[in-house]
Amino acid sequence: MRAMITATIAATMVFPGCFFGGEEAGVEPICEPQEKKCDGSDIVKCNSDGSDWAFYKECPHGCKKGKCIEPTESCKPTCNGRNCGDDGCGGSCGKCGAGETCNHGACCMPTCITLEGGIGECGDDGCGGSCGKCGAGKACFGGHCCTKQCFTMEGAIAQCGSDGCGGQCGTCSSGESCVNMTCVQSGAGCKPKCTGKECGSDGCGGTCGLCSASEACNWSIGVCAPTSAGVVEGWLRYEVRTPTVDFWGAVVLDDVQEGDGAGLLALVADSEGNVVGASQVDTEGYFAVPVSGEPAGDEQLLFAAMWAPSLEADEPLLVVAYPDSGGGTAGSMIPSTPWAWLFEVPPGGYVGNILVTEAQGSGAMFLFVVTLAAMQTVAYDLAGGVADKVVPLAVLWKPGVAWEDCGACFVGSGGAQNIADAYFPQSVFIGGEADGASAWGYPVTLHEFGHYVAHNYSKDDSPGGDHTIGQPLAPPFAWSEGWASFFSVLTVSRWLGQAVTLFWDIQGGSSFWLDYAEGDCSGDGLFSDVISPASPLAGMYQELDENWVTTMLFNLWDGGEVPEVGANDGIALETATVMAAVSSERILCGDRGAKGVDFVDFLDAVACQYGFITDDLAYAVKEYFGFPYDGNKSCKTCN
Amino acid sequence: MRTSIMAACLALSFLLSCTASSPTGTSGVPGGAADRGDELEPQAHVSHAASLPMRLQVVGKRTGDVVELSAVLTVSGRLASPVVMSIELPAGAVVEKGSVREDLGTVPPGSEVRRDFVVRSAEGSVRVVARSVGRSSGATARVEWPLAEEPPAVRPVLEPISPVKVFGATVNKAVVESNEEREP
Repeated sequence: MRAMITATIAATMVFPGCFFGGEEAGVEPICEPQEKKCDGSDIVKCNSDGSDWAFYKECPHGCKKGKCIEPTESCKPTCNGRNCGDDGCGGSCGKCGAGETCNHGACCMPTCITLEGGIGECGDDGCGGSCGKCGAGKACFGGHCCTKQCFTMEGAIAQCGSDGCGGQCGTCSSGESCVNMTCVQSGAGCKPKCTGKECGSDGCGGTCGLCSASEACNWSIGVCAPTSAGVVEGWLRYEVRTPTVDFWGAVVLDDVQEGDGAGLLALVADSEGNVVGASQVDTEGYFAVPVSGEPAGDEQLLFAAMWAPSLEADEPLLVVAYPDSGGGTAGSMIPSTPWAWLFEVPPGGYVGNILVTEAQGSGAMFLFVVTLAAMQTVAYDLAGGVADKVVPLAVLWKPGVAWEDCGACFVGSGGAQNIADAYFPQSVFIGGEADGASAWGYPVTLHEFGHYVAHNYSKDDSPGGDHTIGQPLAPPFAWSEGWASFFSVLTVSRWLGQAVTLFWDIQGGSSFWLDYAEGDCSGDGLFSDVISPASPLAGMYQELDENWVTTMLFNLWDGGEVPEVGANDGIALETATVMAAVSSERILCGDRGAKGVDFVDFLDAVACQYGFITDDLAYAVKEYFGFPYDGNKSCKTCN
Repeated sequence: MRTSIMAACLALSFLLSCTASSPTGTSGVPGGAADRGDELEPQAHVSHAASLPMRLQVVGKRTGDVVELSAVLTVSGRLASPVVMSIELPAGAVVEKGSVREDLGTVPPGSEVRRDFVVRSAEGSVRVVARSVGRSSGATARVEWPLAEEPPAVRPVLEPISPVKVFGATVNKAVVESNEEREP
């Protein structure tokens, strides 16, 4: 019964109608009274209380910036050689036939055909349009959405080589060569690393030796093994709790479901504890760890919540760690060990289905999967695939353990941890209270990860302190928190290839949720019942609600990797542009208006990197979000 | 497209079986501020998640089968709609003073609202709940009296294992499960 009720509520939330649980929310102004704007070729006008737009006037020659385009005597229609499209005076040069589109004045029949002659699902339609877009992690190849295969032979993330979809997984720097889809140093300055290895990469573009004809090299450990070597394989799954809004509007965690242990490190050790094989659990939860002979049944299989770009890496870049103690002060060094799970390997090596239960710490697996997704953005979009540019991060969590003065927090300087002989300069602490979101609270986890991103790859001038919903904050404070929440919804949306704009949290049995995408009833503009919008009249350096910053960022970002939500602002920055802007010299060294990095600096940074977008960006920010950005960018660099 | 909690749940289910495959935008953004090896002055930084917009505290006294409760609602953030406070009783209990359900109206940030209750025959815990739910957000504060024991946290124990070296780190503890414990 509860499922039905939940579904009903969800339906009322999904479709316009603005009815929720029998109570109408209070009406907030969405526009300036008497303000006008275009809606297609019509003008719509804001009503007297600013609560809605209404039809005002039809424009026979089109509408621009809230006014009808007037044909003037000086305007002469120009259709030289064009048989369709705008004549420059609000009229038309002609219409195209059924199914045709107008491409720069010429009628054109879109063609979306695969290499095999089928119907294409992506790519150029030949008329300046698109046959469709592919989701995150996919590329268009021959009219098909193709899943990029960017994994090394050991299952680690590839740094270079073909992605199997007509593209590259990355490119190596000069002085490096691509070996096993990994960039390795080459040339005279490179010292081969072959200690304990009889084959495989020497780290300099060469090999440590060749195996005999009847053997193959296990690249992960550099050992030759008979080609009939064995494998330890199976599926790794774990229990997870997901959120639902109950009948009364409270966020509750559902009963357990199962998830795939994608990305977990899988190691096989012999009876003496020596690692004899390593791999990474794939996206379906399947793992296959190659070993040098058929498993005898005395091996052990270890899954560890650790990640590095290569199985040969000499330091981990991400760990989810189990604090030895029962809590402490976030920011102090906490004796911890990586979360790991050990299983016996049966003779023959087929392990079958492994389910890590909540009682076995499946929350740590979930935290690892979530933070690994975020780390992909860091590794590829901010560090450019260069492992040395990824700042190692430890995530500390243990069921029942709370952190003083923290709840959940990111600690930059002062957050260093030594875990299992590895050094992590920064850490995220996640509270494990049973009456809180704990490990399942992925929006908060990713929010804290967003602070890690700003701290290391951008600039964060927030004064910090307590903050809550709807609170106007100083511009750098609002930017810091708004960015962190944006990074959270970005990561989940990007991963899923659809807009997931929900933020929620549970603390001490109480809960809160908000949807950044929820617009007003008519779909014109944006409207939320708790987020304080920017004021068009308060200047560029006004205090802002952090969630309004998130709303603006998400709406400027969407429309590319995920469909538009809310207002169609005509801007789709996509991840690469956003990350390039936040890590640009304009952000790191420039400043305009309010002291410290804020939303204005971000807009300037985008405009400085992509000058052609400045006008559209300024228009969209003003028109759709009411933020009075002037577009007079300053493009100071660090030199 | 609009997103709902349900959509998020469904999406999350997908996420769980989703890939760690990554976009391959390798534009190589230059000069991350924290490239290791930099000598930049590190910024002191501890960032916290936003606090919930409202909380409840309840103090009480039991005399025989009569319970006197005082509930204080503290609102720190903006709320979507008027707040409704209600009291949920164990079977057989009755409210002798106070409203079982009261519309508190709009409660602005920075406000405190106190309500007193007298409950007779409360043979169990009494729960006070405050809700403010709108179209695009919702806040719920709830507290029980006497304070409910914190639900037992599931606390797995990591046991010592033979040290395993990986990525230069040493893993010497793990949650250990034998095959016998596993479902076929």
